[in-house]
Amino acid sequence: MNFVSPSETRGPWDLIVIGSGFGSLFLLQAYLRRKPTARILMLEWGHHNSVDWQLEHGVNSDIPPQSTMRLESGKEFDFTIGLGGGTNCWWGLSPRCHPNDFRLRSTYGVGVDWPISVDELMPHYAEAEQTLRLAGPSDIGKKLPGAGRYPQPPHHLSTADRMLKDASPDTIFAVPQAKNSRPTEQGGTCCSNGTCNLCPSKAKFYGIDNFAGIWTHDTLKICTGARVRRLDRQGDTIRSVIFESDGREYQADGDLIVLGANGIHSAFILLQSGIHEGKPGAYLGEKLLALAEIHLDGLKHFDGGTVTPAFDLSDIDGPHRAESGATLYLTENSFNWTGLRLDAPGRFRETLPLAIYVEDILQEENAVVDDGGDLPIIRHAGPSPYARKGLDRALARLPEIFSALPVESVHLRRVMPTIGHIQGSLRMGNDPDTSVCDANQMHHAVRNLLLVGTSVFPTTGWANPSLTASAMSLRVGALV
Amino acid sequence: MSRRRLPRPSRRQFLAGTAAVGVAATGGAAWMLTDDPKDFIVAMIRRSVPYVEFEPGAIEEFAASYYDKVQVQRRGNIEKISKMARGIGMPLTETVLDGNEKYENFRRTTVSTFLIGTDFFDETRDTTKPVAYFGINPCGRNPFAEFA
Repeated sequence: MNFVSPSETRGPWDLIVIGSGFGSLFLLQAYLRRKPTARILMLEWGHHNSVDWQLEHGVNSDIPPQSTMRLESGKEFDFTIGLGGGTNCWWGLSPRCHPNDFRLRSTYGVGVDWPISVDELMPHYAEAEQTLRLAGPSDIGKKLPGAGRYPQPPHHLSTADRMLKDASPDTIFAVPQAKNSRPTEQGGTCCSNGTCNLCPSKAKFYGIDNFAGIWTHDTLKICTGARVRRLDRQGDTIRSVIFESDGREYQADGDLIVLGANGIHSAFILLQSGIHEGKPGAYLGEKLLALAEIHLDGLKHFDGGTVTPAFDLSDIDGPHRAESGATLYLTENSFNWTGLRLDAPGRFRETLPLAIYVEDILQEENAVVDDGGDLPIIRHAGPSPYARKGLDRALARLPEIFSALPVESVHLRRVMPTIGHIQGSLRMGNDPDTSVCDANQMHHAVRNLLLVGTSVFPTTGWANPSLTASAMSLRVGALV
Repeated sequence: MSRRRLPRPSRRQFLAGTAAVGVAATGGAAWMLTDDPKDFIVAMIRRSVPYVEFEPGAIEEFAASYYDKVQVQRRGNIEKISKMARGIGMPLTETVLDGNEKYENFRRTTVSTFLIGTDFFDETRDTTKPVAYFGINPCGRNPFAEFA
């Protein structure tokens, strides 16, 4: 890696990239193919914490995310401030989106449509799946068009998963995920530890370890510990990026600026820069995550080969989305969140933990707010009635969806404070009054400012967002 | 496993029953918790799997190591419950907290973590001997996992 000190960053640069997560790294992958001699500066607030450092310290970063924002309500958000961004703390689950996820308004009359379709992402999904070395099933194209050509075979399903798959072959699938099911040069195989944010076997794809071609590129210079405070705008152009390091301000000049911090801090940078077109910060949100548990009568679980071996896609799309959120049901092969059964001697493993994702509609009043202070303020009322209704529907559906198992009882354990999928604060759209960036993720009013990452998602959908954000960055990286 | 054929009491019945077993087995000493919250963890584990005999000091070793690693906020919660248990006793504390998801999650995940660190689930172990504690592995914490 070519690290530079803050005093070496003035430029001018062809490209300045703010943030170093999925959005930024995949954009660079596509951009460098076309412009290998471009002079590029990456500014990252966090530090370069190696995977070994993360494992030793039990955290992904030395900067706790909670210390970088002020929560005005109970709703929490999670992210990593550090080189590699969300590629450090993510759990690797990487399904494609469903075509109707991009046309929610026109199909079901709720939310908004995206200005792009799934078809435009198809080749980029395929490339991202190869880059991330996904392990996944070949038959998933039945539900997610175009998917199924994964570089690694899927992880071993548990006995319960296999029973479900046998009964519902068109809706139950092994989860595509960026964790080795076979050893590679980059890491071992998944050990099913259930601690994927801190993967002890290095089976998970970490950006800092697995993007060697980018990090070592001659023309990419990296400055860590550089917190971007504002963008210097002149008319429809950003001239320079102002950042802070060790209490001093620095300026870097660039022709094209990529903003890929995260959904909270990217929005805050625009707000503090006085770039208010399209309402940056508004429509902040994420899908709902609930943990449930099915007690099994006589069937032992936890014999799968990874922490989240399978999911059910019955409810990711359908007319119910007009009234309540799309739902994803994931079987969990870890007892880290719910524990083994202790209610009856000897039945420790007779339980199937489930993670339930429920789509939400992003609300304008849920927002990143700038009160002139040093940190963004987060105002969020929590899941909307659309998501809560979706959860109620999901819980009612569990006995039917899991009817192939000897279900003894179903329990909602808890709704989690965050799923760690920040979306929507810089949403894309065709209307400059209601969206921050256009279909190519270029800011509507500032035409050399490209926005990347999950913050541009106009709806949450049901799917883990990192693969889609990566594919979108590959797409725009090939355009700019 | 033969234990599968045992009756399946409700959690409340189970707690009441194990309270009696606990008192009988320890002569009441189990309820004399000290100011040390780790004692509460030990008592909680004993009451959750009262039918398992562990090597002397095994649960205490785990509790010390576990408590050292829990987050500060969670320590505060453990201290609060521990204080309650010192005041009203373990059986009543567990009855009060029955149905409390935060406590239930803490109890089940803590007991699970402890059991995984022992040879309890090792089908080759000598079942005539007490269960031994080995510690928590950084990798491979699911001993039931199977790989293709």
